[in-house]
Amino acid sequence: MSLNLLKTIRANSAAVCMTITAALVAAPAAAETAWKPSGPVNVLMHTKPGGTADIFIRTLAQSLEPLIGQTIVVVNAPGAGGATQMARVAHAKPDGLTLGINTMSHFTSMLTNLKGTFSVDDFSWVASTQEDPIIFFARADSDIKTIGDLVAKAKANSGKINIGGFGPVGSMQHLGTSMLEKAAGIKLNWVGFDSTPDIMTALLGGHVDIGVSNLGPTAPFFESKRIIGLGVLGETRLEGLPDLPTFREQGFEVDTSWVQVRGLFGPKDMPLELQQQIADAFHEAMKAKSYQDYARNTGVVDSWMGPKEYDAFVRKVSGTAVKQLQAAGLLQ
Amino acid sequence: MERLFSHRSKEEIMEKQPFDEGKQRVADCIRLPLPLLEVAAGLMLLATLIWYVIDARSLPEPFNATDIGAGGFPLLIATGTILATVLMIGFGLAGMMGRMERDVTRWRRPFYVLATSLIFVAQAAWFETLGVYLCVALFSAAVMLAAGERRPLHVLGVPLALVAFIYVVFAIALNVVFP
Amino acid sequence: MIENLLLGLSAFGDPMVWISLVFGALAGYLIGAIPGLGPSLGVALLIPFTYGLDPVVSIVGLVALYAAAEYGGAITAILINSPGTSAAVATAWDGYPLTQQGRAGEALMVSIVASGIGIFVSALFLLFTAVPLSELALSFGPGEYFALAVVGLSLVVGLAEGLVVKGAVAMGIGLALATVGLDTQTGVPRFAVSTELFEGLPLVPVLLGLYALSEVLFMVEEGAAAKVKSPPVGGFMSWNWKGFWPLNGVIMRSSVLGYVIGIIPGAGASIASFIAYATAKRTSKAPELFGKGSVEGVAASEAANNAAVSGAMAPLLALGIPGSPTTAVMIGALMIQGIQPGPLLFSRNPEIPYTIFASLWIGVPIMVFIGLAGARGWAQVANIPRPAIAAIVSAICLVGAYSSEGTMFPVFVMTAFGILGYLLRKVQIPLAPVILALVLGEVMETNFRRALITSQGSLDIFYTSPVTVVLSLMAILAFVLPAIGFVRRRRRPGPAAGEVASR
Repeated sequence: MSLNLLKTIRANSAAVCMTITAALVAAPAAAETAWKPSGPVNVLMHTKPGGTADIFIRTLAQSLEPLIGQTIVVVNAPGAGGATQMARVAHAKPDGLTLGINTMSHFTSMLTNLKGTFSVDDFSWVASTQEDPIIFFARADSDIKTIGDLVAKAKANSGKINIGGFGPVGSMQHLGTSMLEKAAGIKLNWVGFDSTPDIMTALLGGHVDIGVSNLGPTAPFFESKRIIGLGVLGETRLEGLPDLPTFREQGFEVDTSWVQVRGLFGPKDMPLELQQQIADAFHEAMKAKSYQDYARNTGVVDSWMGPKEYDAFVRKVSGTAVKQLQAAGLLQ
Repeated sequence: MERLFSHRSKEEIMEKQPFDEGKQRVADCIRLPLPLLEVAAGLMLLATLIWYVIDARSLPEPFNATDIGAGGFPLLIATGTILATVLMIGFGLAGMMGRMERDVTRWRRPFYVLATSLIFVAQAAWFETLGVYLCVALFSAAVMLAAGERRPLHVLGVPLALVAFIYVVFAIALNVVFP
Repeated sequence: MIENLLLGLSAFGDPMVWISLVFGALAGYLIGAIPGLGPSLGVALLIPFTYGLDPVVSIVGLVALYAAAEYGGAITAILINSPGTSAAVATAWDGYPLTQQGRAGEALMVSIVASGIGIFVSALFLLFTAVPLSELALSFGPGEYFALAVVGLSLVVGLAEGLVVKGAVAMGIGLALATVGLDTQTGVPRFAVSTELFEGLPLVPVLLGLYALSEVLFMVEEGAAAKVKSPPVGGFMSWNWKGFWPLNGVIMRSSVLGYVIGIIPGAGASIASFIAYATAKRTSKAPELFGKGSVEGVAASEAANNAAVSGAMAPLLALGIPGSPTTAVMIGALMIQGIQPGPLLFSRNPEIPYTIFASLWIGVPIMVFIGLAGARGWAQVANIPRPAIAAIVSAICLVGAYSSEGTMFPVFVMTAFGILGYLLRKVQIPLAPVILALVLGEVMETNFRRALITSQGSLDIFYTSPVTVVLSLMAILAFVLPAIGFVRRRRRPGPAAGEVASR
């Protein structure tokens, strides 16, 4: 038996891969979108496999692949704040065959630790796909059951409550945490992790007191009653976790526009027309039932911005991030 | 430990020919005292470590007061390694002054080793321009020549077989896309 | 449990499951054997084919691929000193010397049988202990991870073989190399002269360079004159199966160690094989053979890295937490199928965990058969003339490094480390500590700093937990005992001065 069914890995040179994939892609795909990539599309992730954004693209790939008639290759390039992945996206050819998934952390890290290395202008911001509020949670047997408990305990032990979250200081989740700190007048001790499963391991093992994450990867732990939610940083409650009150409901006014976004970006100088085609293809794929089932299960909100709107959004949110970072004392 | 093959006969076991110490080989072999090498390598390592320390010291202070910061661990490592390196240089110097056993290293066929190193660099540098197949064919033949193979059939055959193997396994079976 | 086990076994009534198992095992065997590709890449490659399949069929294929790929790494490690993954490095330490002594077939046989037993035994443990041990593994906090990494690092003493100072230098080089890249706590770039280095040094190209490419230069040194002849490997009947008896203890101990270490999320197969190797050496009757061609060393490393496969499955099935990079990819595969790994998996989809147990057992004979059949052919690789082997190794390294990431950067890294490896070996700085430190360095640093942050800067965290204390004591003993022996040996008159062999 040969391995020639494995029609993946990666494509950089269009010419070679055309011949090979043409021979390998069994059935010509239904031509429903204008985007016709000439080879397998590499989607670079800034997380290890198994994280929220990772599951998102792997699920979307299922409905996207038949639409564009090419394989989606998810390449995990984890590293602090996403710079690992950004370096690879930045150096790729702007042919649409190398794309990256970005989150809010990309904007914050370009303002802090990657300032001077990458800026918003180094990339093409192609489309937004999801919005995903962050939630705070604790172990089910913890004496912290609400944000109120957390605030009370943190006031009694200033800076001694460990909070585990994704990314280094200055990441999206850290800034969300510092916004809560500011609103409640408390101080928490930030412990950065490289992946959401690592946060869950540390939280369940009692090595951190509370955790912060999106709903997706924590859902099974809620379901099995290993963890309890403290609050949602968002405008409304989550569809997937309707019992969990928002911060505002619990009496803490935190800027609810600070939600996680997941979008698509590529190297700079991608033709706007190509960007629009890619955005349309991704948005079309999001309408598939498999994707919608997943999205509703994990409580994310679909987002439909195309290249123009998303680029404007990115610039606006970077402005907000500057204010947050200054407020947190991380940026002069 | 008992050997796992019961059918092994004596003549099959090992045919490692003792290295030919004939005139031609000796001329083709550089002898360097090990202590000298230790001192030289130690000094080079020390220079690299000093760059490492300077770089580590310029790393920013941590945001969190309880973190030792990005530079903390590297400085720890550098201290230990500098200590060990200085010891190695010390032993080397002692050896050069004849206080300790004098070990000699033999660098056989230095010209060919250097040539092979250059082949490695060249195959990395031209991998993209030449394309994988031409690159593998040319440079694997070159490696074989450097390694002492002179039979023309082998020098031609092995690279071709290699190219075929890489094509079948990597390009067809795994669909790796090469430049 | 019996009912569920029958449920798991009943999945094998479907011919598709068998096809998936055999395909997965074959694919894994080949992918593992190619330097540059490893189990996690292999599983990721297979995932697109599982979309349309039944979840049970696809999970069987993925598990078979994972287990077989973890074995496949041993083949190139033994034959051409090219460990394709860090978990196979310890296999190369003894496997390649065996090949050079003309015992390649033997080393291959031991590696496949040890791997098979490792999986079989650990799968048995998995069935009974997955849930309780996974809960226990959660008690591993940053302090414990740090201590575990130090235990792994203490192996350096054994590997340095009397060259204490040079062993320390080598360890320092490895640790320093591990700090290259973006810092995980503050996100600042460290010692990264180009943005490609932000990701840190890619491990596989470094392995290929230090071991395989530097070996090519040594082959060039020897020229066409040196020859090793391996005897042909006969049929199944001609083997001295009794020869395995003395290995029983080593394989069993290593399997248990590999399983337990595999359970700890993030520790993984490489730490498992390093620690099993060190344990085997300490308990062996012939420790002096380790590193020079010990069959026990090969057995220990291979039994442990394959047992770690079952180990990594435990937290995945019991808690939904991946125990290794490969199982993390598998979580993605399961979720795409609509299955949530986690505490509810056993009650909601019992067919999944029990099919995994069943496929590990049924997969073992198939894997061992493929491996043994292959060993007959592979052993002949050792008989190819040196110049041709040199050419083959350098070409496979080149192509393997390129395909590990699909860019040129790993090729450059491999080339640089190939030449560096040659020079280091010439100065008699051992390579094994460099690799060990490079693999463990990041685990050590990240967890050391994370520990200090969670403990508010107090060092208490490193000696207040019983696990940390036990691990630290082990590490201290490992460092101190041989040092005492070293001092004692030095007091005796040394051997006569003379030429040192070039390797």
